[in-house]
Amino acid sequence: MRVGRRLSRMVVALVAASTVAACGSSAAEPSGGSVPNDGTPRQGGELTMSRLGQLNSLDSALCSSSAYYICAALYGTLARYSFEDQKFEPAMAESFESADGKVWTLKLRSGTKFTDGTPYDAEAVAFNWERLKDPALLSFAGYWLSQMTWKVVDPLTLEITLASTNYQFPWALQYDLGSIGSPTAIKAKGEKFATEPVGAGPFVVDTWVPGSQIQLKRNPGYVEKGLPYLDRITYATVVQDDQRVNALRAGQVDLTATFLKRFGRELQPEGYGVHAIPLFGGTGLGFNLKDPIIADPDLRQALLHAFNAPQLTAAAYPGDEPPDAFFPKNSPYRDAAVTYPKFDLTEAQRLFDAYLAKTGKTSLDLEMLTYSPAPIMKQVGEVVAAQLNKINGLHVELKPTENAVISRLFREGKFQISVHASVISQSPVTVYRTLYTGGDLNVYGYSNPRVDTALDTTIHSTDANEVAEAWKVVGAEISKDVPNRLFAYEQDVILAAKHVHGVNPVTLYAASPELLWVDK
Amino acid sequence: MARFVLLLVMVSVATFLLLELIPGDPVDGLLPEGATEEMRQQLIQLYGFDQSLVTRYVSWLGDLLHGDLGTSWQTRIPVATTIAERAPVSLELAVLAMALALAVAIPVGIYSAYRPGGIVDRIATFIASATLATPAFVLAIVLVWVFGVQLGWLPIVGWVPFSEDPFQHLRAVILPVISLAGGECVLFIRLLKGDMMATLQQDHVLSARARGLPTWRILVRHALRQSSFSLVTVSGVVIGRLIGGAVIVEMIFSIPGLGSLVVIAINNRDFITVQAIVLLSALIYLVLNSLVDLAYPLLDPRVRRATT
Amino acid sequence: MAGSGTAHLRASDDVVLDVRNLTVEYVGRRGERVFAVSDVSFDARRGETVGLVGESGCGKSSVAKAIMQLPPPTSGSVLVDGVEVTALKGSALRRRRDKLQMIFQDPISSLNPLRRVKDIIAEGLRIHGELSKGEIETRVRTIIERVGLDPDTAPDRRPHEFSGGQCQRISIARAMVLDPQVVICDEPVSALDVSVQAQIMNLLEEMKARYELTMVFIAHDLAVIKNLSDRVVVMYLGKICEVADSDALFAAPLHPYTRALIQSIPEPDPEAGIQEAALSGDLPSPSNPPSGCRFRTRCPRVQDICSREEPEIREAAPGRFAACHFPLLEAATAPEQGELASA
Ligand SMILES: Nc1ncnc2c1ncn2[C@@H]1O[C@H](COP(=O)(O)OP(=O)(O)OP(=O)(O)O)[C@@H](O)[C@H]1O
Ligand code: SF4
Ligand SMILES: [Mg+2]
Repeated sequence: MRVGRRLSRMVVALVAASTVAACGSSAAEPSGGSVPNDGTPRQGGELTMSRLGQLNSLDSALCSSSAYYICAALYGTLARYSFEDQKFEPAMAESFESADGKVWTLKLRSGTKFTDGTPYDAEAVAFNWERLKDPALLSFAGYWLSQMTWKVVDPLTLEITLASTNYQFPWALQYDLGSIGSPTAIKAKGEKFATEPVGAGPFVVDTWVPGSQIQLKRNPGYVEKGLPYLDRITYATVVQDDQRVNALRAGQVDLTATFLKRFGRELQPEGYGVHAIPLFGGTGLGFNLKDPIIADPDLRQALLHAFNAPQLTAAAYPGDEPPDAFFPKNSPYRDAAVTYPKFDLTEAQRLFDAYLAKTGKTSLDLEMLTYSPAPIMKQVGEVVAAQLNKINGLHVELKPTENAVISRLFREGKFQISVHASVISQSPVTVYRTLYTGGDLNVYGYSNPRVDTALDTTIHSTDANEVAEAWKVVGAEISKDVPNRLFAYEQDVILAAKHVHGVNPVTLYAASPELLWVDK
Repeated sequence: MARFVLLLVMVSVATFLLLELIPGDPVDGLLPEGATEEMRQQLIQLYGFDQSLVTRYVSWLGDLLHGDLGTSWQTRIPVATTIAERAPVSLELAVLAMALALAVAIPVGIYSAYRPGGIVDRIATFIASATLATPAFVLAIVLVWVFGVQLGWLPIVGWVPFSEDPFQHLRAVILPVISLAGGECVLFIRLLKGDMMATLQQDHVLSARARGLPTWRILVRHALRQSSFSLVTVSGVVIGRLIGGAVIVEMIFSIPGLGSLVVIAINNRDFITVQAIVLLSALIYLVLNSLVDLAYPLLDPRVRRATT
Repeated sequence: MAGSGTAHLRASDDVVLDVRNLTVEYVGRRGERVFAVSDVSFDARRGETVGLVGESGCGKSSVAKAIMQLPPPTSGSVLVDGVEVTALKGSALRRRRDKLQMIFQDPISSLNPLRRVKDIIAEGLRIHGELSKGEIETRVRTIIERVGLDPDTAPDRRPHEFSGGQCQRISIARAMVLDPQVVICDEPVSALDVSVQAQIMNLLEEMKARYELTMVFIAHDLAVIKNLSDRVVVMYLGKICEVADSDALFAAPLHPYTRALIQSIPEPDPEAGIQEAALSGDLPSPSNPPSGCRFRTRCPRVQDICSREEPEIREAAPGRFAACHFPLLEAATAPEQGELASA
């Protein structure tokens, strides 16, 4: 599960969110977070949420967007992105500010203690970040760690210097760098820290059945006043999508999540809370622009015209809107003038024949990768291959391939076309990493100076209008160049029973645990 | 004993080779996104992925001989710890599923053989043919729908350890156990009925009836033991299969057993964990097979003479 | 042939076993009906040994099992000591069973391989009798000794530790310990070495005398029952051909089939040569028996009427019963019989 998500992210395409913070920042608010606006929170009660992944280690080193739900509970996060307000707010940190987007000052709340009684201070943060550099820990923070330095200014203050301006840095403080464990416990417990974590988050482990479920109980010493609301929260692993929805309907869980939009459509009328987070990206066809054959723009145009998105959507994602550009129709970033090439087989054949004539070839064989472990990906791949093969003289061969192999092929740039679930995050930084020239997740070998400039703006600017304009440019250019042809926009959906409130949805199917409350 | 050890060594070598054949570098499976090339190289160094297969095998075997199964590359938790947590879960499921399958199969098999074409036989045959191609997970899904969702009698989520709450534990175990037992039960009935019908044809059974012994006594005391060879043989295989590989049922019910662990470990290229689970499974198979061999002479004293 | 009819039955007080109109049908492999036994009747007096002979597949074992109610016959009646056993059910039948015991052909399969000899023998007593443990033990020991096994070592051993002949002794002990009135021996020696056949036959004779048994002795070859039987019933394809006292039957068979069987007994005198033509052709299938006389397809004396009319069992000569339109009334003058028939 973890790998699938991670991989899909590498592949990326991004997208659209009607949300997206324009910038990081933010002044410290004295206490408690801003609560999603659905009534007056009540203290107490408990709640069970089903998760799709198995939880096998509780080490803070593994914290990232995919482990947010548990990391936020056990360790808290330095920053918290409020979905409703579309901005970052303080959580474990009291503030994180930067005048230039390059040098950041991180201030901690005084008196914060880990549950073992040791202080949650600047030294602790520095210790944790230093620790993440150990490759054996497999931390997701490598991207940030490789471009930042930090120093402890005083017991509650760190000064962080980034290699270049980035106002989106607070995303790192929510995810990859956001969860801090007790240095004392980490040192004392060694490998056992993975099973006996010590943090300062809103909850502590009550019972844990590794691989199945974990019960957390309220940490009375949690630093944000009045939080958390719940006395108890249980995360239960339920691998299958249907099963998660079954459990919700049967009343065995109160919260669940899915990426299948149809469940949202089904459950909303039944009175369940449906919290969707539109994300950048989705599932699509990725092209390796460094491949000598795929590099030919006419050939790619031929392929794109042969691709029949509505037909695929009807077959694989019935009821959804077939994507026709990088940003969906309701996105504020969408440039209405630019859409993907339309389905037109005659045009596709014409372009393809011209390509053959130009290159002196009589036919062409291409390979298309797809994830073998996911049946849906294989089916989708088959449909797409069949569509492309309608072009006479073209033979596209589907290669169902394992995650680790795809990782390698991407790393080495050895693929032609790939069907991948490019599920992304809320964070614009991921878009940046994926589409910027030479970006660490740019598996397409894509390079467009106008996109680079616009992407720079998305992280360099604090002006919301300027940023929105920049996104428009990115969306238009990508829809024109099509390094990745999306055929399903990604959306993480949290489904909640009626009595569940305070859902602050976070990417990859999580909700900030400290803000949840129930009236029951 | 020497044969035992040799077999285990062969299994571990074979696993090493097979894992080597799985395409894709373990490093690619392990490294998180955003990892730098430097981290990549460090990881390769750390786990010796750049060393020869033989070197890695020898060092793994060396650790093993010191009782060290290694530490998961993925979670950094000692493999032995993880297995110790999960093996009892799989074992319990397997044993309960076996017990349930046998508890149903033995009486039904006996009665079907005693009255072939009778109502019990017809129902059993009907169910068997109706579910012939139905894998355990389909049964699991149906059970979940009926008892979990529609009736709401049983939990479909979460695993409560026995030590924590025996009652909830039993409730959590019911559906997975039935799912696992279902298919095996059909197999057991078929085997037992076949053998039993052959035994019932034998003259000593007629003779027992001629002497006026009650039917149940003839079926149970005279015919059953003699008819349980195939059943015992297959049981050994089945329980081994259940312990090592109730993968799909474990996934559906999110049960923290060895089956779901091995899937995750393979996906994550956490080969050190896979290696240990395979070895453990092989060990279990060997032990079960030996137990089955030991059981034969108990079932039929003639075997004892033949083998000694 | 065909021997329906009951002319040969004797009306007398000392008839212990009375089998009437016994019919056994099976469902064959392809769902066809198999007429294994069709309307067979015979009786046995107290202390008498009735030999039941016929080729393999003619239905002898089916008769035996039907008498034993294992399973009960398709139709017909079986009276044991005047009690209709086919009417008995459940525990009433079980209680009656010890009166009627059977010894099987295959000494190995007829003993449960998993049990000790003493348990095999004692089990019937334990279930039925009101005997105490000690009494049972004594009885078992006695019977083991009587059948010629070592009462010290045999009881604790299991069947596979014995030879075929010894196993048959165990079977005999198992039957005799229940003190039955009627014992049916279904080819009890045919699976044994020739060297031990005689011993077992002697043992059976001895038992018969000691326990005043009535015996039905089944064999597929007349030689085996020649000396043992008082009365012989000859069967062919599910029907009775001929019934007679042993001596008379061997001296002058009336039925062509009986004669063929007698002729096929290898003569100790090499001069006589082997009577090759005694029986030619294959046994017809019991699922599709010939019309009229079932023996007509192989009978040297067959006439038109034989295929049209089934011969009833009738008293062809005083005390001699046969089911044939043209019985061999004077064995020596067979050709004349042919003339007579054609006349
Ligand atoms: N259970 C059965 N189902 C179907 N047909 C049967 C069954 N038992 C016997 N038969 C058939 O009935 C006929 C009579 O069989 P039976 O065993 O009574 O003959 P038999 O005279 O005892 O032969 P043998 O000398 O070989 O023991 C045979 O044709 C046999 O194939
Ligand atoms: S003579 Fe006719 S009735 Fe007599 S046995 Fe031959 S065929 Fe049958
Ligand atoms: Mg027979």
